[in-house]
Amino acid sequence: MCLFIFHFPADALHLRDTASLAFLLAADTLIYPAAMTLGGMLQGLALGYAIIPRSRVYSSSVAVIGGEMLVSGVGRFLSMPRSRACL
Amino acid sequence: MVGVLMAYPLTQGRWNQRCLKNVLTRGCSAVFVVTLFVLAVACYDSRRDPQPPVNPHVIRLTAILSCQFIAGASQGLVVACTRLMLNRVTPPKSQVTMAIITVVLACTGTGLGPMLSNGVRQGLVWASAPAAPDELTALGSTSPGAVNSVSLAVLAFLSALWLAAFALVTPGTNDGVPIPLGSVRGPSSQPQLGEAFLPVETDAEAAQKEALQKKLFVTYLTVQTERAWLVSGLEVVTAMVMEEEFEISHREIGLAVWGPASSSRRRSWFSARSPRRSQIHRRC
Repeated sequence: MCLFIFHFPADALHLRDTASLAFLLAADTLIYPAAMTLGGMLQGLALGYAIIPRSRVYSSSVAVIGGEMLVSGVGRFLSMPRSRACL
Repeated sequence: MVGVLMAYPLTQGRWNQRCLKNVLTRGCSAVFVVTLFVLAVACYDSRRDPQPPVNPHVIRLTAILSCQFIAGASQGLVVACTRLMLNRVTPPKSQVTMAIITVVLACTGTGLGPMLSNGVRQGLVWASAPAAPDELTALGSTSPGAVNSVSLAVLAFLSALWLAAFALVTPGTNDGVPIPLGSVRGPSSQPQLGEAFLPVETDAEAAQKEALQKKLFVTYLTVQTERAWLVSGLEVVTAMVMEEEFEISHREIGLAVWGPASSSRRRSWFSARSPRRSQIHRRC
């Protein structure tokens, strides 16, 4: 996605060098809050309405701890080397 | 991951808010003190020592990375436990709002961190050599001991501030407290959040509702993973593009990636810096 932002829209808008960097940072400024807000909304929906009573799997503890495990253990851990490998 | 796993046994069984608060307060105090002590020892300027260690840089790097591990584990533990404690006292209708508030506060703190460290660094530069011709000269004349002392003092102040806030604000009983988005009676009064639905329902409706709940649960985990993948990948690639194509320093890259809103003030980033855009373009 970063490459998509950095190359194709910048080329289409005839942005060169520093302008494309500013475009990339502007896109980051929009993408980060949107992604984080989406995650927060879905977490709230899950904790509010997806918890099944007396269930050991679909519980609030598993939701919070499993979510943090997937975020840090899968998303952040694997995404960085994969992104660098793509470049 | 280690910190989040450590939170699992703490949050199982009968919920005891006082016990969990005491464990978190004392555990985090011990972790803060140990980490600051190890960091102070690691950052000690060994050049003034009459008998410096054999490999001072390796020892220092190992100690600093160990502190990073300890800090990451304690952060995971604190985040998981505080999120669960907040979840216990929040009614279902306010969960979304509280989750968004949590995310906003976390993002604000994450963005302010690099700005704070940059401010401390800039203050040291101004205080040490106000008449220096440029920043690098001023930094070169700064005493490493002064840098370490100021950095550790700032870290100790922030740690003490967090501990004081946690100890004062977090309730110590299971009764709960009124929260801004709706008063609740406490964790023991609402152990089953999923029961806030229709009072009478058939077996088919119950099965359908349970299937929808499971679907929402799995969707939540999937989207959280995808969100973390997207944000982390974007950070890494942004940093890589800024480093390889524009030759921006590591310190300014960190400031830009974690505080994109402040990037417009750094006009030097957008000046001509021998861009090598065609190289990455060819590699793609």
